[in-house]
Amino acid sequence: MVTIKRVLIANRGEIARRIATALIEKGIVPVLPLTDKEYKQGVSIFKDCRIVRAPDNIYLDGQALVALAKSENCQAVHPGYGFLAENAKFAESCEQNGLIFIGPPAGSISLMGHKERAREIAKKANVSPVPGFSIDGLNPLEIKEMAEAVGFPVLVKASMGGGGKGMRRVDSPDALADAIRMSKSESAAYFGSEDVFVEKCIVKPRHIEIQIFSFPGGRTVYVGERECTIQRRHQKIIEESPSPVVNEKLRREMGEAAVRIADIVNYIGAGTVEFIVDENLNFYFLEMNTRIQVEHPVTEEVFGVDLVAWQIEEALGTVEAVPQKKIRGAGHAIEFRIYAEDPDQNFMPSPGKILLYREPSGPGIRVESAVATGSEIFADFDPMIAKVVVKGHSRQHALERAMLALENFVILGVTTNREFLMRILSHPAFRAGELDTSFIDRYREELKAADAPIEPEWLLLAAALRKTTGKPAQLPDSGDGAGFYYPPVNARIP
Amino acid sequence: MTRIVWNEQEFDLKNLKLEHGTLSGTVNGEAVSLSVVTDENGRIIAAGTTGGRAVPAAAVTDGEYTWVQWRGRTEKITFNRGRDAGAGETGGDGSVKAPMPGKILELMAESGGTVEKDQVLILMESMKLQVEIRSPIDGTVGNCPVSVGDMVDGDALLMEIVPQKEAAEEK
Repeated sequence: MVTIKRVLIANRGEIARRIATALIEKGIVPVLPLTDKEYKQGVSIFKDCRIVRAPDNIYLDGQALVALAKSENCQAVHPGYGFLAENAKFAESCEQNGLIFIGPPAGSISLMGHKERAREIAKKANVSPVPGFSIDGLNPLEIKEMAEAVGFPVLVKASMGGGGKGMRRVDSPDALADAIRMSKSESAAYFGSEDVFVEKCIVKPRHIEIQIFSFPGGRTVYVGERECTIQRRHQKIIEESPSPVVNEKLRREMGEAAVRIADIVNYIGAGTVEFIVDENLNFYFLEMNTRIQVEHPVTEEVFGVDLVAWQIEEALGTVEAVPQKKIRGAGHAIEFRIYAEDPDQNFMPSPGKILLYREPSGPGIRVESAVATGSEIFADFDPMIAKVVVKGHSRQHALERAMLALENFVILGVTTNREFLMRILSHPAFRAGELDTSFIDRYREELKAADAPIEPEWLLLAAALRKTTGKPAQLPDSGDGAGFYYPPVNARIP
Repeated sequence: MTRIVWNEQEFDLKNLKLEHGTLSGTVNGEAVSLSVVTDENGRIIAAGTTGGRAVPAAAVTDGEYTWVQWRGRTEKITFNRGRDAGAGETGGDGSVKAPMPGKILELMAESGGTVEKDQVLILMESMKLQVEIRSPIDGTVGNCPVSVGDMVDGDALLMEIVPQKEAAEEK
C-alpha cells in the first residue's frame, strides 16, 4: 500500500470533475490546474479542490504538469482522457519523478499507441484486425496490388492517428496515391509522423468496444461492451450498453479477445479495446485506448461498478480483484454527448456563453458536466458541454427516460446539438437498434430540423416569457485577475 | 404592439394577456391562445400540451434577444429595441427614433398633445416604402425637432414622448 494524499488532475472540464469527486470520496485532495480564463467559472465548480492558476497550454505541457505535481506535493497524477492521457513520454516522466501515473505503464501505452504495432499484438492474441497493411517501404505499385488484395473500398489511416484525422476513404485504385499523400501530410501536421496504413473499409460497420480492467497480478476482466456506432465527423455522440446486437456468446468472444490483448501488453487498470463489427457480426480489432473513456459511465451504470474509483484504488494498491463471473450487468444505459455545435452547419463548434443552464434529474438520469449558468464554452477546447447518461431496465425504458432527460435539459445562449440528439432518439431506425457508423450521414435529411415556420403560439409564449424572465445571470467576479503561474489562490489545504 | 423578429421574419404581437392560466394575444392579426403553468411568482414555467401534459418552457433575455426552449425547439428571438415593453430595458424611455434613413411625410401628433402607446405619430418614407412610426408609451408629445419634408438619418431623434406615470402597462 502506498500513501496518496494529493493527486494532480492533468485535465479539465467534466472529466476533471468526475475524477475530483472520486478522489474526494477517498479522502484524497484533488489538485487542479485552471487557466486564467477558466478560473472565473471553474472556481465555483471545483471549490472542493485545491485550485492552481496555470498558463493556457498547461494541459499539453507535460514538464509543467510534472513540476506542478511536485511543487504541490502530489503523489500521483490522473491524466483523464485526451491531452496527455495516452502520451507514453508523459507517463514515463511521471514515473521518473516519483509520481504514480494513474493509468497503464508507459510501455503498454506506447505499444498500443502505434496502430500498426497494436495490430500485430492483436494478431498475436489471435484476434483478427481489420485486413490491411502498412505502406512503409512499399512502392506505389506494390501498395496498389496489396490494396486490391484487401479489396476496395479501403481506408487510408494515420498510424498515430485518432478521431478520424488523417483518414481517407478510397473507392478505386486510381484515387489511392492522392489519398495517401493527403493522409501523410495531415498525419505529419497532427501527429508528427508520416506513417500511414491501408485497411479494408467495412461496409455498414458498427463500432463496439469492450471495457476491460486489469487488476494487479495479471487478472484482467471485461466489463461488457459499449455500442458507439452513432458518430459524426468520426466522433461518438451516443453510446450505449449493452449493444442491441451483441448476445451473450458474442459478448464472451469479444470480451475474451480484449482480455488476451490486454494480457500480452501486461496491461494495468482501465482500458478499452475497440472493434469494428460487420453486418454478419464478425468483429475486427480496431485499436486499444489506454485510458478512461468519455463514455465510461454507460458501463458503470449497467454493471454497478466505479471505474475511476478502481483506477485510484489500483494506484493506492488497495483494489480488490473482481472475478469475471462476478461482473454482471443489468438493464440498459445510454449516453448522449451534448456539444456546443450546430448540426445544421456540419456540426461546427458554436462556442459562447451559456446564459441559462439547468440539468435534468430524476430516476435513472446522471449528468456529467463542469459548467453552470454564466459559463463560457471556449473555442480552443473540445466544445462538449455535458454528458447525459440514462439508465432503464430495458433499452425501450432507457429511450423513454432519455427523451425526458433531453427535453428537460435547459441550455440557452449557445447553439447545441440537444434537439439533434432528440431527433436521432425519435428516429425509427435508431429505436429499432439498426445502426451503423454512417447513420447520421444516411439519415441526414430526416434528422434535419423541420423547416416548419414558427407557430404563433411559440411567439406568444416567447413574448410572455420575455416579460417574466430576467437578464442572464452574471458570474460573481473572482476579484483576482492576476495572471501569475501557480500562485496559491484558494486557502491552502493542510 | 410588440415587433418580433424570428429567422428574418417579422411578426406583430398585440394584446398579450395572461388570464386564468391562458395566455392570449394576436400574432400578425391571428388570435392565438395557449394554456400555461405559472409558478408562485407568476412566471411561466411550462406551456401547451402534448398528450395532455404541459411541456417545460425556459427562457433567458440578453438585450434585445430572448432565447426560448420549448417543445423540442430552441430559438433565439429578437424583440426590437424601443418597441417592446418587456424585460424592462426600455423603461420609460419615450424617445422616438428613425428606424432607418428617410424623409418625414407627415407629423400626426402635435407638441403637447396626448398620445397612446402604439398610436401612429409620424409617417416616414424610406426606399419608396411608407413607414408608420408609433408611440412607444402613453404620454404627451414633448420635443419634436423635425418638420414635414426633412431628410433624417437612421436613429435620428424624431420626437420625445413624456411618459404618464399612471399609464405604465407593466406592473
